[in-house]
Amino acid sequence: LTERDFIEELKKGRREAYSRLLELLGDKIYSACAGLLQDREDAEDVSQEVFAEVFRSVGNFRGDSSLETWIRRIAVTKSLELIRNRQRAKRFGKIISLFGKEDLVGNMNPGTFQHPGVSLENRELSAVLFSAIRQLPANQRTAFTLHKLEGLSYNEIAEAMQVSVSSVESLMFRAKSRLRQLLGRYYEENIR
Amino acid sequence: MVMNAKEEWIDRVMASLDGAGKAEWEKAGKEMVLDRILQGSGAAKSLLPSYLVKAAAVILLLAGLNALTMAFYGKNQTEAQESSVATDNDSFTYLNTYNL
Repeated sequence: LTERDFIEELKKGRREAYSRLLELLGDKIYSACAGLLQDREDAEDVSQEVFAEVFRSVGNFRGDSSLETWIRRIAVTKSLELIRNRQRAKRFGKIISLFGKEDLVGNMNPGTFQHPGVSLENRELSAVLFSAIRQLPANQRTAFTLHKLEGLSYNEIAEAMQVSVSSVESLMFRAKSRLRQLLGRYYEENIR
Repeated sequence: MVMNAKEEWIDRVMASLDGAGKAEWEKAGKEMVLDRILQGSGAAKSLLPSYLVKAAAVILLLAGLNALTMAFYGKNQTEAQESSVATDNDSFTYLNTYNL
């Protein structure tokens, strides 16, 4: 079965085709969402949304990119949307608390996120890194996570984020600099 | 020395995600999404999209309302026309009486 035939099966709404799609890409998409969102429930919800969107929009898929790239792009867009909404809500919560009102939004990410793919010996350090990643702007966070955690090349990240490769390079450079700055501050306050 | 320890620690943290595996989506989650997206879909649905069903329902509703309106007001209108004819006849009768 070629990719084109497979896409035709998806367009016809065949259950077997969707079952196969989930088998092939379900874990990849879920893993990317889990890394980006740092929350298993959010990752579950967004992954479901991604495949629902695939079902709704596969009829318009022209095949300019591979099916995997197209689905990853949907996943990144939806994850970015959620991250930005959360960051906006957090900022709003801070403004509310400035006026002496209760922080309505509260802490968006209580506790430390443990990515299931991280080895036991790296859990402690990766928890610190994840907490620093949360402080990054959404697009830097996305580029860094897709590269570090999902092992995507700059080209693949550019396709997923719909930006140029040079933009990805710039995002990665800024993300790394900012992370080193944040980790340095954390070291001064907690480790030293 | 302190700077080296700090930089070394930062490097270790930055490398802590190297070689990390993929998070796996539970099978139940995949089943759920499969049921959710394919709920009620199938050959019948692909032949008759939901917007067509909705459009047909609206047309039927409008046709039904039209039929009801016709049945109700159509009857009244007939009566009105009949009484109008009767009035007209009366007038003519009046004119005829006086041979005008």
